[in-house]
Amino acid sequence: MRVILSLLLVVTLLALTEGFAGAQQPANILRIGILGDDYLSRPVLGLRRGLRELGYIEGQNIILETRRSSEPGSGLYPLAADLVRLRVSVIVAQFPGALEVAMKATKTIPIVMTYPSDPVAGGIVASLERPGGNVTGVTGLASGLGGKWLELVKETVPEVKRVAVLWSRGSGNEVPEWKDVEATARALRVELQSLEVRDRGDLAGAFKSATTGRADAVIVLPHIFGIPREIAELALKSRLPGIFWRRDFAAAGGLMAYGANPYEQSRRAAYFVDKILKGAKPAELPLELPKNFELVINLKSAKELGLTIPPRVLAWADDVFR
Amino acid sequence: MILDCGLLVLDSIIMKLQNLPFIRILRGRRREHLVRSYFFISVFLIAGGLISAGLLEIYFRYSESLEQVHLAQQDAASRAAFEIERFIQDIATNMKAFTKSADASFPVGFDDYEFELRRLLFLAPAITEVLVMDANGNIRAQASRFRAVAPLLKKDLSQTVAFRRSKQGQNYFGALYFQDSEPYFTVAIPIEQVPGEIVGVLQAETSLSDILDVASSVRFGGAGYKYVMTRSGDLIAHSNISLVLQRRNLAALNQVKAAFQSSPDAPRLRAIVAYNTEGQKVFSSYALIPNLDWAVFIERPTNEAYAPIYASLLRTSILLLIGLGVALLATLIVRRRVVRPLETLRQGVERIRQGDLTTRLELKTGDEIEILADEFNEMAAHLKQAYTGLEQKVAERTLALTIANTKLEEASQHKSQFLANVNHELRTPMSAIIGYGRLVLRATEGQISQLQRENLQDLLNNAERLLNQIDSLLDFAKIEAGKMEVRVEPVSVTEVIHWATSTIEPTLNGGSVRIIREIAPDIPVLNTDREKLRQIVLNLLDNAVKFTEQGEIKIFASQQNGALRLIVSDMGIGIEKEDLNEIFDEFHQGDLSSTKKYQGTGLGLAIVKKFANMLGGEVAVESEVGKGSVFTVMLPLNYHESVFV
Repeated sequence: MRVILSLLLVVTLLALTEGFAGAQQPANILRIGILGDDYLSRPVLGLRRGLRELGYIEGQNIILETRRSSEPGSGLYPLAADLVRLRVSVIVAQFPGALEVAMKATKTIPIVMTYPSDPVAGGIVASLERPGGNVTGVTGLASGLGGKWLELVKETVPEVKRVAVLWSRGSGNEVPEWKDVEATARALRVELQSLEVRDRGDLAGAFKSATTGRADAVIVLPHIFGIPREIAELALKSRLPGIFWRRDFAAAGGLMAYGANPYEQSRRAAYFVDKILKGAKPAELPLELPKNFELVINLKSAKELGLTIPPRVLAWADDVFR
Repeated sequence: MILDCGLLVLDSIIMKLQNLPFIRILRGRRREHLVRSYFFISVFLIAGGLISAGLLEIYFRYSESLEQVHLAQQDAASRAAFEIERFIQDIATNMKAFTKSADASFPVGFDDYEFELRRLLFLAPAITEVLVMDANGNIRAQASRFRAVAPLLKKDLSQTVAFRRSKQGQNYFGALYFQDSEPYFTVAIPIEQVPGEIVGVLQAETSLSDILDVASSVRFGGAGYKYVMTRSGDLIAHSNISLVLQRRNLAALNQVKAAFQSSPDAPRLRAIVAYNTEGQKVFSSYALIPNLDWAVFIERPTNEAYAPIYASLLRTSILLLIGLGVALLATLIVRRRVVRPLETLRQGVERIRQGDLTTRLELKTGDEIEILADEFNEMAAHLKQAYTGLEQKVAERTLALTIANTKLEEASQHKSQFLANVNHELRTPMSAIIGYGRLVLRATEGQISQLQRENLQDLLNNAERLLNQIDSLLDFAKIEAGKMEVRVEPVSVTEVIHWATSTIEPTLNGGSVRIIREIAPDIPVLNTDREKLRQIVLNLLDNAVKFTEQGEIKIFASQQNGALRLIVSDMGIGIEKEDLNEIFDEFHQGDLSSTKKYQGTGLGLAIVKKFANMLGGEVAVESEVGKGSVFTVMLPLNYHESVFV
């Protein structure tokens, strides 16, 4: 009798647990690596929000392994290696230098990028539709943004005649933004001074060349080695109104920045992280273009440079540092 | 009547089920019919009810769910189409509003139009580039989110469809195109300073990549998704943006064909079951946006749509399982409450049947069964009491009987001893008397008178008679004592009969009685005890002579069925009917009144019977008072040890 009752109880319990088993998720915590520089707070906030919107909660089903270095390049290699050693499921690379380092560190761990550039021309992916490798994510515009920078410089400082362009070669040999700048310069009848920066040590020299070359303004393209504060200070010191691709430069003292909103970029990157965690192959995940751009102006630097930002430019600014 | 039929059907089902192999194992012992019946009835009543209720529930839920899926999905598709259409119309409306200005020179002057265009970019986030053309199709101002809009980029767009259509006063919605893999389309509207007077065209490049966001409130199921596509099958938007970015064309899907083949005014169809790009089976609904020649689809995997039905099935199954468990439990309780006490009762009865009257039942069920058990115990107590009394009486009677038997045995022994003693003590002097009598008769031949001689002869005859009687007594005593033996030898019946008749003839009553012998010639030589046969014949003849005053005594011997049949008939006084059964008893004589007249010990016929039995035969008598008696003896021709009774 007791045996039969016990059996009955077990069978009933089994039937009930079977019914509710479907509601339970396997307790599998995934690690997501984030590689970037000192200006990671906004992107990480965006990523966190994006992940939360997709049902990921830090500590419960994911762990964010954030690795940052104020020394882009050499400082990032050991951090990337660390993430690979941790066997993170995805690495989110927050700026061009971080992407290059991550790509060198692993060919297997999926990498999600969030910075604006042209990854096809830069040789990072095979095509926007089918990246083909282990890198996917949100990209910049394939064309045009370089021209937009020049246009903004010209609009802000209409008397500009000669503009210095600081650039570095990325993982590919092409610098897509340069072409845009060049095409727009012709249309706007602005002379360009091309200054290649091979490493961080070249920066001071480049700005000096810009000054001696009588440049009226400076455009700093992505891929440039060095940290925003250092570059912004050099620009100020050289008394060159500068436009940059990322708001952090403006925050550090650069005159203005126009580019994709890093918070929104990272928020969108969460979508790619989610897809990859659910088994999608990065090689087959098409890249997306940024949806939100922001114009950030540092009025303090403008004052320091003796500039008055035209109201029609200031009117469109998304953020202003005073 | 219906109930009877139902019970019959139930019985037949139970019978069939009972014949199943596994049920046979379940059946167990023969005596557990009640448990089984309870079990099957409980299971059939509970499980039957649950199953039928569950099936009905599943059926109705299935139908309702399916209808709900169709209606809700169709509704969702319509809402999504409406939202998307409104979104596009809103862009056109924004653009239209933008062209209106209080300034009469606007937009003819186009002087600061660029700044105004940027305002439009703010107003309509989907627009990435916007330009304004004059009445001749020349670009007069331009603004872009991404690109530099250089003053020298002015172009003549007068030949474009967008310009020509707008110039005619119509709003223009262009074809889908992709830029950097993202979907775009062109919207162009005429700029009218006063209605009918077109002074230019406002054209915007509009990104459609976020178009589904406007219909994000339209959700359908966890795995449901929606997509928008053109008649050509190009995806404009999809919940899975990758499909759009990969420029997938879905014209080959059945649901897409069905959607664009139907007329916009056709009645809304129900959702159809089709396969999506991944080969998954889905419920698909669509709604057309006729102005744009687009269609919005909402699809949901069929397995998700069926999920509530499966869940219901699972719930019903669990309930069923629990129901079965309860039925089993009920059976076990019934077994514990009813059948077990019954079984205990049965075992009690069984023990009593085997004679254990001390059996008592300990059943505390608190119901009729307990009362029954109490009655049983009382009955067993009564039985025990009655049995004990009976045993005592039987013991007493047995003891009395044993004592009586012992006494009887002793008496019998004394009698035998007495007879033996008497014989011995009488026979010896009697033999001496006869011997000396004969000697005296022979020695006094001619010396004594005839009268003396006759007296002497009488003396001798009586003495011999007395000796014979003593011999009979001795024989009977031997028989009684079990010391009589059978000595088998070849015996001639003729010789025995002759011997007997010659022995008896001298005692006949003068010439009035005569003995007639009839011996069949085919009688073979017997193998039997000669002396006992002689004694039988002699005693029968002696008996006949004794009771026959006159007439014939017949002795007749023949063979019948392998046995000797010996008949002695007389014409004597006969025997009373009530005495017939007793004449073979020892010391019995038919008529007490005639005892003195017909002298004898009453042992002759008893010995005849005893000897006939000893030789494997039997004796019978028929008689009629006043006419005579007929004694018939049947003896086997060959004596066998085994026939000895």
